[in-house]
Amino acid sequence: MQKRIVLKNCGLIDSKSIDSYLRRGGFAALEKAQKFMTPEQAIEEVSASGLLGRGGAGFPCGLKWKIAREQRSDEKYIICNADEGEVGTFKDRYILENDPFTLIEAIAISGWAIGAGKAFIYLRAEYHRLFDRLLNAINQAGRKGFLNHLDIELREGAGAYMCGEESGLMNSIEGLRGEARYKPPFPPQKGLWGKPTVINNVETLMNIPQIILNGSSWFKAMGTARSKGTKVFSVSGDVEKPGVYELELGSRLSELVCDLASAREIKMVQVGGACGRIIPVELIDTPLAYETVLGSGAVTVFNQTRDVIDVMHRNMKFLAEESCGRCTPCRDGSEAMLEILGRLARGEGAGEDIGALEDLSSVMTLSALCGLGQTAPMPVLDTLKYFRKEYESRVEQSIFLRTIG
Amino acid sequence: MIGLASDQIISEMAYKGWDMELLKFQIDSKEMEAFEGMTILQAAEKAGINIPTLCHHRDFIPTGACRVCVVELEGSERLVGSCHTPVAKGMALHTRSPKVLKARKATIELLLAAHTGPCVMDFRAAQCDLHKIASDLEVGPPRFHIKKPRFYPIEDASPYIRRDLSKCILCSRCISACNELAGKGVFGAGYRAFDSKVIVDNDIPLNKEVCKDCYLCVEYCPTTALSKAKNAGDKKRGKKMAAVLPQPRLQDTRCGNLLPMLKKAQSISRHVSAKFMAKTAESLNLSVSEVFGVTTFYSFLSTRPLGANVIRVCKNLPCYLKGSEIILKGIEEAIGIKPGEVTRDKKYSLELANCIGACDQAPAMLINQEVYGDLTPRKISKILKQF
Ligand SMILES: Cc1cc2nc3c(=O)[nH]c(=O)nc-3n(C[C@H](O)[C@H](O)[C@H](O)COP(=O)(O)O)c2cc1C
Ligand code: FES
Repeated sequence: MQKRIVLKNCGLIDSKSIDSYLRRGGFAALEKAQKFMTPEQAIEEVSASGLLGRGGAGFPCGLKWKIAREQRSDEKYIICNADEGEVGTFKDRYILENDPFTLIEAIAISGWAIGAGKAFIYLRAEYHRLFDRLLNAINQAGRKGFLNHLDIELREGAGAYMCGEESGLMNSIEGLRGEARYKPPFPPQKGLWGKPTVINNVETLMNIPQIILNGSSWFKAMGTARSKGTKVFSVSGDVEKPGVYELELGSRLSELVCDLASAREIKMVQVGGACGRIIPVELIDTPLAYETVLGSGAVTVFNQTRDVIDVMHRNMKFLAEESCGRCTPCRDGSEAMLEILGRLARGEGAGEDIGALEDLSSVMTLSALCGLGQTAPMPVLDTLKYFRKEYESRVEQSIFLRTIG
Repeated sequence: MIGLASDQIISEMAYKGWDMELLKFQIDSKEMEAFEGMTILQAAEKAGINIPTLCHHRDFIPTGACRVCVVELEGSERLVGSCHTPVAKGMALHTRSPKVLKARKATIELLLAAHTGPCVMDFRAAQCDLHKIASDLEVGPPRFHIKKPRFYPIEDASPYIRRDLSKCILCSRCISACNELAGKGVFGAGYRAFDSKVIVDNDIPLNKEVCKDCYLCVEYCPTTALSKAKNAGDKKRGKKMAAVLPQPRLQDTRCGNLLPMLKKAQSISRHVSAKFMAKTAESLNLSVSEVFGVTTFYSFLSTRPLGANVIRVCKNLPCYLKGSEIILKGIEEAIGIKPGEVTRDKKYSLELANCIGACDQAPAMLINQEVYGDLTPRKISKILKQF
């Protein structure tokens, strides 16, 4: 069953008019926070709620805010990550299309809480058509006097998955190549232009106003031990009803893809996009949570007719193209993996290919500079675990083809 | 040994008494002490432990690019880069554990496989740090094969420096040397992913006009990619060597305007022209190679003119599952071009895109800024008629 918390207003308000948002209680959370709470109390409430980042990495939101709040600095920044480049993810788009005002209110609260005077929303170029809608929301909120403490600037990407990764994103705003930076220092210590910076995903922020209004215990009552609240999923692939669904965390994958999205004859499901995990149909009852699988909430279903190796080859193509190119394991490792998967897909594999895939996965996971290279091999490792036979028989076929050729 | 910059910074910090704390930790089971702010690499050096490095040089701000210097940190699933990770209280580090050696070897193998040798035939290979580290680690012929390793023609137009980028391992030390020490900004990083390349201006061969005779980059190149030209004088080092402390390029916050400016140029003239890049570099106090590097990083920016209408067909899995290849074929037939091309009348450009966030309407494409979803071959001609 769907539970609409984050998507509460979607479809019920006019995304172009702040008045329709105000009629549904909009900006009450900002008012409550500013009138009746100290920034520390607000951060404490967010911490107590157990809200974890919804952009993929799952870092505790309140802790991030707390670190940034505690830094001494003349300037601090808040960045809303609306780059949504993960393959199969479109939930932030749906939110921006339908309810930009809650997001603006959330940014206003977070800016106030950490003591930032400036906020950026980094919107991917592929969503340029939403630029004016967001700008309109910012302007209307400003005119109503909700943004007196905070200047919100809209920035746009130019086509690079890497600019969704937080360090690449900051480099991009600074006018540099969207390459990874090493950590530490972490953004809440030293981020944009070396100043404390909080970066949050659109959906993470969407939870804030209701946590402030309803309190952390209301929020904590939903979900599992470590995964509180709901999650918005983007379902695509071999399903009858692709789309955006919001479920309580801990709900089963089968409920999402079978009951809600009407998938049939499933072979496997990819959860979390190109860097995500592969769940074979035998494990379709896996709960969706930070303890198990989640990522960005991208859920792509593959039916029985799909060829695992073909799928992995295309998946790696995306990652190899989008590697920023800075570090060796990701830049050259993803290229080497792509070549092996390509050979296997064409029936030109060799006995040592499977071992090479494993070795490459290992060095990328262990040594790559950022999350892209570190998680890029995950789907390959998962399919090697669950569908190893398909790899092995492809190698055998390749050898056979060579002997007759 | 060139310079002592990082050590100088550390001791300077100690001198100024910034809240420096003496930290206790372990490297290879040895009890150690170091000042806060010191990197693992510096601490290891102090303990007489050698950690191999390629992209790092003590004269430069670390980039963490090559990943050869990784070490194991107890309690951390991933390895950490020693050249840029500061030591912290209680750390237990291992610089030669099996996990470290395995990952380090694989990285070296990747670097060997990704550039164009064969360097065994090259008498200068003995001067190459990559080959030295490879033999120290007993790396044999790489297990990974890259069919089309990075290959570039040799650049020998400059009377001073010869560039053989087929031997380049993208450590970016020449970029740091030119930017931070010489203050000239001749080199920059261009393109992305496997195609990444150290570029000069708008990716032109190194020539006399852009580069004079300071040779700093040659001294810092760990491989044989950069060398003195045959007839170059034997002047050893540039004047700028006096300044030993690296000067991080003072980042002009106006640089933040660069991407919006490039995007605007793209939308007005359908590409980012060389002339525009030169003008912009001047106005923002950047080098041309930096502007070119940013331009070529992003897939929505193009240095060659695109058509009046840019069609971007999504090729990722959710769209592929719903038949994006048939859609692509239909469009190719309708307008008579392949991805990457422009129609003769300049009306259309066709590009393959990575997920455009419309997977619920797969197969989908963007034409200019608009999404067209749930595509079928029949819909295509109808859509194209609108343009
Ligand atoms: C390659 C890569 C791409 C990413 N893309 C996005 C993205 O498009 N949107 C997003 O919110 N987070 C993305 N992330 C995660 C961010 O780095 C960061 O963790 C997140 O924005 C933090 O916000 P949160 O804590 O609210 O989730 C990406 C991470 C990686 C490694
Ligand atoms: S995969 Fe095509 S829009 Fe997402």
